[in-house]
Amino acid sequence: MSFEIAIRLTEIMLAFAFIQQSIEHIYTAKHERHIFILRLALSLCLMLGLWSHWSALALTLLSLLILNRFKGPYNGGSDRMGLLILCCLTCVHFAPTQYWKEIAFGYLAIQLTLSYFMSGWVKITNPEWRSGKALEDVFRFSAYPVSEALRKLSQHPKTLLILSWAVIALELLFPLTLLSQPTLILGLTATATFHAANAFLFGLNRFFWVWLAAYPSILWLQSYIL
Amino acid sequence: MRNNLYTLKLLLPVLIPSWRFFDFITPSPRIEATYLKTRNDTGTDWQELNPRPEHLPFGKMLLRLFYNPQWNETLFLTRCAERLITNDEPAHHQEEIFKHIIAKNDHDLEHFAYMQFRLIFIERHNEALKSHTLFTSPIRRIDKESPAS
Repeated sequence: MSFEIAIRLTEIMLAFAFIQQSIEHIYTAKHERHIFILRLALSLCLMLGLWSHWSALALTLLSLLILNRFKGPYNGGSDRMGLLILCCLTCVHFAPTQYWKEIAFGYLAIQLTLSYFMSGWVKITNPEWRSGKALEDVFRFSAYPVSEALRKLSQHPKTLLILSWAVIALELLFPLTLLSQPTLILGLTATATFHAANAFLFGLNRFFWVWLAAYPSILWLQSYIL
Repeated sequence: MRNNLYTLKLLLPVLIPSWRFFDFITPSPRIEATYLKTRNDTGTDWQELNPRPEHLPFGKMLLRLFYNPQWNETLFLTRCAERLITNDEPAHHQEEIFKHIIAKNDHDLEHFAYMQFRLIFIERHNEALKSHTLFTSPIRRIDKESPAS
């Protein structure tokens, strides 16, 4: 994947994720509606490729304002990843040379890889995850399952043990998918399916769209290196 | 200057993330609210904020992939509850929870002038689930024009 296509795809996918989030905020955050209407408009500009440099910069500044308003990210990890992608995109647009543009975009690809590997690492070092108990707790009493019926999954420890190890293996082995393009595409399909499952079971829909927006960076980096 | 440092403090974990998702399953908060006619009443009817449905059909799960504002608001308030209890800007997060509860219950608030919320944390102790009320807010007058004040 060429650098230009990867950047353009990232802009479109990130703008889509921000539009989706902004529409949700316009519904709930009655006191901050004006901020998210502005975010929606800027995201539309980014998606359509209108003044991309300035749209990305304005969105970054607006994101800092939102970060201050909520004293941190509104939606935890997904907002952090969204802002990281945005910061990298803005650096790409304002970097003085192609070398620095590639450094900024490559950093995003490395962070995407780390996001999976580190999540897998903290799980495999925790005996509760290795025994399946942690995932059992997630279903049994955490705030995440989207319905009471899903809590009954906590009564299937063998299934949860298999699922725990499947998640750990997927996250830890993700860096190895960089070895070839087919393995990377297979890996990204698996991780996208994982995010979709999280969206369905735990309502983490924002993670799905935001993480997908970082995928062009890893596709570009892999084709650049190999 | 102080504001810039604060923004930098918030931005650093974005630029250099730790990516420690779900490393430990910590006690999980539930927010419950009660509504009062006078400041001297004692709340007895505590209602969970945004209780999850018994079942969620596949079609609705699919729709929520695109539009899920109430659930994301619930997750935000859960994070506020966790930060309140760990003394991380507690006044701000208490206000945030008050504001969202009052904004959500426009119709129910017709007959009440005051409200209060509490935070119940659920955790596993050996094999049993235990819940503890770790925080009860002061009683707040409901100002329908300016809920946060």
